[in-house]
Amino acid sequence: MNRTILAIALLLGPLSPALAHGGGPHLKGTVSVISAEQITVEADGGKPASAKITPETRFVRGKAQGKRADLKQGDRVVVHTRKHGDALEALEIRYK
Amino acid sequence: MKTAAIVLLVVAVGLAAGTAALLLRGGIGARVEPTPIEKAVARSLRRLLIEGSARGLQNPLPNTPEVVHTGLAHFADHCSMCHANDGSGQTAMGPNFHPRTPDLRSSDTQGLTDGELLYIIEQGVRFTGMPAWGDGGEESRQASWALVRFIRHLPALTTAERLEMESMNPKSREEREEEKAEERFLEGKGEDRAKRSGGGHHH
Repeated sequence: MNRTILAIALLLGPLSPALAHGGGPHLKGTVSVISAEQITVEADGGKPASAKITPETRFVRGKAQGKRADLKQGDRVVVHTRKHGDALEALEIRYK
Repeated sequence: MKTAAIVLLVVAVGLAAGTAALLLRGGIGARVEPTPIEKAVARSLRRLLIEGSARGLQNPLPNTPEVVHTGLAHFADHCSMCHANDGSGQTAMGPNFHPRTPDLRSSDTQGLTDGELLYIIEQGVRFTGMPAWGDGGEESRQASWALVRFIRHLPALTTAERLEMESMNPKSREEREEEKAEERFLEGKGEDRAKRSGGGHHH
């Protein structure tokens, strides 16, 4: 009986998931500024693009785990981002 | 009998009112964040509605690197699109499901029994994005058990394993080309000037 009632409650609940786009671009360029909170990538022929660094941001050096301290101005990076409102958050920063 | 009917009526009215409140709060859209009550009810329901006989099943596959790797490969091919290679649920779609795609590394998932994980993989979860996988055959069952082994391994997933999974993820030709372009860029080959790939691959 209890299971039936609970199942009914579930049936009456909100329906089906939504599939949505929500990711950000990949920033490919050289580091112009990097701090604990943000990385700015200099892109050729375009304005610099910035992404917020969060505790979840992963640093990947080659095929191993890296750290923010590995990076300095002028290093080549690819930053995978996601959109957070109007800003970008860095999911992963790759470099050699 | 009359009392039971009244109780049922009250429960039905309560459920209808609760559902109406939920719908009025966020319409039918999935963007509204599930409330703590919704999350708790959903988790309780999930556990309650898993058949008792399934809950106690033991994983017959040994916890070896080979079995974990079999699960890793299967997960990368079938599950990562929603769950992410690291099980965090942080994909383009994961945070937009309602309920949100769970973090498989969390205690909410890791606290499930092997049998419960298998049940969810093979039966799916209604009213979420989790489909039922497998065809009921023995080969399919073995693949699901390997997945269970891999899910147990997720909290200890290494960067090298995650990168290996990326090479196994289903991708379009454009995505693979962009990956190669990024690799060439990082190595200083080919495309020697930086750019923002605004027109390229977006998740």
